[in-house]
Amino acid sequence: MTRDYVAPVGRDLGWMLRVLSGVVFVSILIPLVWQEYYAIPGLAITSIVTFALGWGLSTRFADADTPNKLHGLMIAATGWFTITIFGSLPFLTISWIVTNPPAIMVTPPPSSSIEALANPLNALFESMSGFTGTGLTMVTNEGALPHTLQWWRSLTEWIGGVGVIVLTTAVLARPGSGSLTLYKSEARSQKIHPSIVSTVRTIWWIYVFFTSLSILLLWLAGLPLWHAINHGMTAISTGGFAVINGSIGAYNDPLIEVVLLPIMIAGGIAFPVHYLVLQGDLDGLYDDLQTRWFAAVLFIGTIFLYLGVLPAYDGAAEALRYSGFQFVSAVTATGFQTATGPAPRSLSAWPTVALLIMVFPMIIGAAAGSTAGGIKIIRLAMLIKGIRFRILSAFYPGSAVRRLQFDDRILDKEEAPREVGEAVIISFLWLVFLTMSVFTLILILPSDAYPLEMILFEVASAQGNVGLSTGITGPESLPATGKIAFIMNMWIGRLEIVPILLTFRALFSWRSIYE
Amino acid sequence: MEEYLRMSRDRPRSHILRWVINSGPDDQILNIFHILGLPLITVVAAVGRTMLTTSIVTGYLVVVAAYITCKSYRSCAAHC
Repeated sequence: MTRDYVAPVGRDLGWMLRVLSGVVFVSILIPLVWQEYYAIPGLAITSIVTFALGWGLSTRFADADTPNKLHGLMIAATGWFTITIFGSLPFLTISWIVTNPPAIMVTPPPSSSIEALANPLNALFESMSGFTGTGLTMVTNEGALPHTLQWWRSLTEWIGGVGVIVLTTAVLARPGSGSLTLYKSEARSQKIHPSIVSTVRTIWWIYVFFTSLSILLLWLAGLPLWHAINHGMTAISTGGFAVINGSIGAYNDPLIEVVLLPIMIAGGIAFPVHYLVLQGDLDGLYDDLQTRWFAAVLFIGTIFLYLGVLPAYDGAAEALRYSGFQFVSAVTATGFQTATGPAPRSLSAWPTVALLIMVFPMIIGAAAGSTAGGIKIIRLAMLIKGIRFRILSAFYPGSAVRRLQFDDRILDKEEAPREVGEAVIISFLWLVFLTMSVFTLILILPSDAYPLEMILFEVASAQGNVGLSTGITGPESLPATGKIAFIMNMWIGRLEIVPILLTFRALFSWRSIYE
Repeated sequence: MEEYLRMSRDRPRSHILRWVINSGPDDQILNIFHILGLPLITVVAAVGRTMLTTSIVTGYLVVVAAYITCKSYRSCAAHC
């Protein structure tokens, strides 16, 4: 890795860290409001350390070239991991202060949740889960956490929902191809305006507006304001962290579940489509191929899941309530759970067929350009249309000129294989990494503790950045190797694998390992 | 009001207001809804759940929903 790589990557990493530092600094308001003064040093230290390193990098490489495509992918991969590492510091420092209270500070008695976060691997897991919008957690009782940590978990998901790079681009307002390269490297492709800076600002406008509406809706539905704020943020970002033990199921309130459904679905729709709707173009919803397919997947998938869980519940209405919410939560990659706690049946007690049905939406995910995870609906559509196109080729003479129609585009004989090939590569790699983690968990978990369908469910949930859990994920139940595997799954799932593979490739060739 | 907002589009005094007005859809009413969102949450945090705050929040959400629906309907009627 020469300076050609290091300088642009270092400069942009520096700016990302500086932005993170600002976000941590603003969060000091929370312990001030809630009088959790013992949390302030942890946030202050994180902010200072992050800013110092960010300032050093961005100053040292200030004259770096504009990032090209490879730089952009490497910045995305290394940037997300770096942000995750520094984002774990508030968990680590605050938990450490609570578990080892200095004589001059008044701290709450340490709970098992706080003690779990004092472990660096658990803190890193929590941070990766937050920034990638996954929602799997090392916390056994979210309600027992200090408000500051509840806020930091929600904020990591909220920022991660639109993307760390989108945030940095909006703050930097650096016009030109460099910002476009970075924007695309974070698993986004559609633009709202010709200018990338205007596009990311509009994305943030829509995101902030929808977050406000979500918070007010949830408050109106009966949630306490603090719960509404946090769940509004984690619902629209399709993250899924909760501030109550037992996720949304703990409320056992159908009204709150009904209010959350459109919020999660909104999070699964691409921002350009939201923009069209806000401009008064309601047809944009139907005209967009992804939104049409998303609606079809939601409808058909919910019916299948309903039929799968029906034998496990006492009545049809009860089965529809839980299957409908859980399917929407899975396909939008939110991860809120209602089949838990006081509910008649938790996910781990669902029939095998229902768990396997749930794996499908967790792999597919929702629309590209939204806050959701998975391989994205656009690739599912491309795969199906590409396969159909290839099979039908057998019925045409070899001299026939055929073009693949995809949404409003006509792909010629060079574009079609390239775009279908890209969807095939991502999907194939997705399944490869999924399989690797499944085998890892089979090897490290106690034999016969969890059936295969539960392991498959948990890995699909981690890699799809969903966050639904059958109970495997936890500070004690998941061994360290499994936590590392899930951290990797969440990371590659958020960035759609390729940036991370390219970064490793560049790293290996730098150390001459690859050769 | 609309004319005033259009005239002031490029020179609001607050950085936040300038960001909101220049970043969102080209619709000043939506910008006003956007700007009202966070203060409303602050009011709810300060005052708590009362009949008045519940009515204000309900009114806000109903008006936002009605406005977007009406806008879409008008747009569709113009184009369809």
